Amino acid sequence: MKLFPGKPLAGLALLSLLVMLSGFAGAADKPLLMEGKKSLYQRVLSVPEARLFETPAASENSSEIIPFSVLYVYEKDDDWLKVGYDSFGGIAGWVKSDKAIAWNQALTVSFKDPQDTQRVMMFNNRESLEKLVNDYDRAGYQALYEAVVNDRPPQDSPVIAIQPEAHLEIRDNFYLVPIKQHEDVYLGNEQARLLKIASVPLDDAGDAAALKNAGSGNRSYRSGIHFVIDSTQSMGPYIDRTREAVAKVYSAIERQGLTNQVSFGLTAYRDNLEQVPELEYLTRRFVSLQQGTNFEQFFEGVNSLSPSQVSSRDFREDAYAGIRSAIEDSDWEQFDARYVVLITDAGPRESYDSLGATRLSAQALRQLAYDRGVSIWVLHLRTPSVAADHETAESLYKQLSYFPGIGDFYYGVRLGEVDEFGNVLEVLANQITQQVLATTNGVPPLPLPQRGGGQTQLAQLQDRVAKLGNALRMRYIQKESGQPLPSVFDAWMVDRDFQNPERSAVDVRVLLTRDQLSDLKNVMQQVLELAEEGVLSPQNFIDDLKSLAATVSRDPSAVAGSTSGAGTNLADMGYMREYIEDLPYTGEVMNLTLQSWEEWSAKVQIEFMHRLESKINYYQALHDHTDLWVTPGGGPVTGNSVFPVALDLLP
Amino acid sequence: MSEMNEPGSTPRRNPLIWIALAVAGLVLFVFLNGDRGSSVRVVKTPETSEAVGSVERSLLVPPGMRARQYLEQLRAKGKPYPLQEVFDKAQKYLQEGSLADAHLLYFFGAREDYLPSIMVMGEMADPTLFRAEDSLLDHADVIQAYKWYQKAAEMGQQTAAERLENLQRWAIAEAEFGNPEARQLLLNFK
Repeated sequence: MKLFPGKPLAGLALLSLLVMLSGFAGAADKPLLMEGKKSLYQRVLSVPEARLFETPAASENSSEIIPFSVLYVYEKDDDWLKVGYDSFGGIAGWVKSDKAIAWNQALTVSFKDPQDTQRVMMFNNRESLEKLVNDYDRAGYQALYEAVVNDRPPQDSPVIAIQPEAHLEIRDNFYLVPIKQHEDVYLGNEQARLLKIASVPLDDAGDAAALKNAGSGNRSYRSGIHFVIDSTQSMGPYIDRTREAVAKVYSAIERQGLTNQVSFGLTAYRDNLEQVPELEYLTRRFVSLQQGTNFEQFFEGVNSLSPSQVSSRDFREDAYAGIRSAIEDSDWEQFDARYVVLITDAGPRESYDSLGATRLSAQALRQLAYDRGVSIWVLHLRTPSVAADHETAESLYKQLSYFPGIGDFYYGVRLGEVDEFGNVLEVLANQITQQVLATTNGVPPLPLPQRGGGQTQLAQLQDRVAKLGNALRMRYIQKESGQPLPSVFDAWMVDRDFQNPERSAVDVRVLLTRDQLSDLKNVMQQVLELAEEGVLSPQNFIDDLKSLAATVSRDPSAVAGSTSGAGTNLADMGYMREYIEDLPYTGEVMNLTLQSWEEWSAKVQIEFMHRLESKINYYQALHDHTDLWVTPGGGPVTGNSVFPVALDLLP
Repeated sequence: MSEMNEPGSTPRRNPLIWIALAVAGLVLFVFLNGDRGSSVRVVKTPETSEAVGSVERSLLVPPGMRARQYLEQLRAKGKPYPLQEVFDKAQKYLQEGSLADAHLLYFFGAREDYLPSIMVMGEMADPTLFRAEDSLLDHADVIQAYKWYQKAAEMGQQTAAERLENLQRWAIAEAEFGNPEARQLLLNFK
């Protein structure tokens, strides 16, 4: 069983708020306050089967509520809730209380890319997970994980669901996994949280159907491989061998009936033309991916490619310019698996190199590729030139070709041997073709066996190619399959990667209203102004901060008694806001103690101030961008409109 | 260049340092023996410190302390502040590597709307101009750069307006690679 974190929620959650009925005009009531709060109202989320009624009685006159809509509670009895989309008295109607989830803190989870961390397992009871966490039983957790991932969970498995293998990007497809409860724990030596969430499962039948449907769908799985070749003077033999390798792969593609499903493109690059104008071009595209679906068109394009007749300036060429061109100038949309393969015997021009055209670092270029779903592979020809700095180049190319969760896609061709280069190229291209064939034939991505050490460089690279291929195929299968409307269940999870607890497995966000953000900005602005004064003239800072606390506190009478000790932090002094005080996160501003401030050097004080100012700037910018805010129930942006703010952006 | 006495920094050393340390130790010994009951907080005035030499002074006075004492004196005299003098003093601190003192004085001038100080604050934080050796801080801070350039531009400084355009270009390019600071900065331009 896999977790389906909110496809219906999706688009549903925030987006749904925009399209909901405006509700009935009601009396200017106020929603019910949360227990112990002075300004925070009770909120619920509707579940997928929830309906809205005009009166607290089941009748045929009801309307559907889009799942996981945020609703304020105005009145409640044992079975019914009177709800509205805002806190200003606009009543939408009545909903059955068992069709709504209490969601007062408005916390939600967004999953990290499972390429970077282990997929998150959901437990059907708290005790099972808590025991693993308290014992920090990594072996037990891993055994359970492998059983679940391989669809062989034990009969009494406490795991009710697992994060999907394919990554759902919250920016592209907003989903809600509401947090109903949280608790601080230690996972090994790291602080972590147990989260009780509400979400929706994708059952096993749905899984099987997904694969079948994807395999028989109208759109076939396609791979695009764009070669980026160094075409400077020394590259003649490798250009010829690339042509030969691609010709063989085309022949195999045709035999397997995969024409149009694997395509090749080619961009050549040289170096800075201002230094050596005779190089003729910095980058030139010889074949596009669209042209490269056809054998004849590919060779028509690349036959005109030849190495430069003149030498370039040094033993670095502008490989990044070639790669960027291949990434940005290609139409990748129609390809499910996207590869850029760099072939070069020289090092690249990094961001600090004034002769480089891109001024990009290896990491920045890798991110550019990653954002477009492209993986970069490097075949580095380590020719025995005395001028070459192969170690530096290798380090940069490994950074460039690193794919999160899998590793780098670098292959160093010893002594630049042409035969070895050609062999590697053919092996990799054929491996990609086999993945296309397997997907087309409906063969599921199979778990990869764990291999021991001592593998050859090529075998290690092939393993990574296989892992990447599996991930890409899973993404395709999920995309192409339909998803059934799920029902809601409760589950427990831990917010850290169990095997590497220093890494977060999820982001926790809180839905804040625009008024709340405005209040937060105003209070923090005043703290910043005091801090600026305190950095220049520390004498009065502590007293000023205490005075300000009395004016901004929600409970001034409590401030006097809480600001006496130097160990008191800003939260205790009265700066904490009601809407963030119970969240499972306290930022460095609220945690700041007067004692710490006094002990800090000027540099540390200034750095703190800058971080605070950056958050204030973010609040202001967010507040001013009305297009980012969603108004529950639709209508213009008001103080009641909401936005999901990541907890680590809170003060 | 690193600030003396800051965590993680590497103080510059030369053969004279040991002589200077010995002199400083002697001064400290005489000073403390002469007033046993007083606090160990040994803070010399900038004037007396000058006579001892820059190396031992830095070992005695926390980074930023001299700037703070100077500002205290200025504030005691009241406005108008001699902002050109403050700026010159900041430049002097910068040249001698007292980055915290320099930063605080530039910051003070900038808050008092002194244009040259505002521009220096912007440039020190500008990711396209950042030089670690001239900055108290370890990294550029594009939000700071934006704030100070914006202030200078509002005061009619043409260079600041151009720098803002440059920052915007930088942010557009960086945002494509997922740089969160660049994305945040772009929100300010929209």
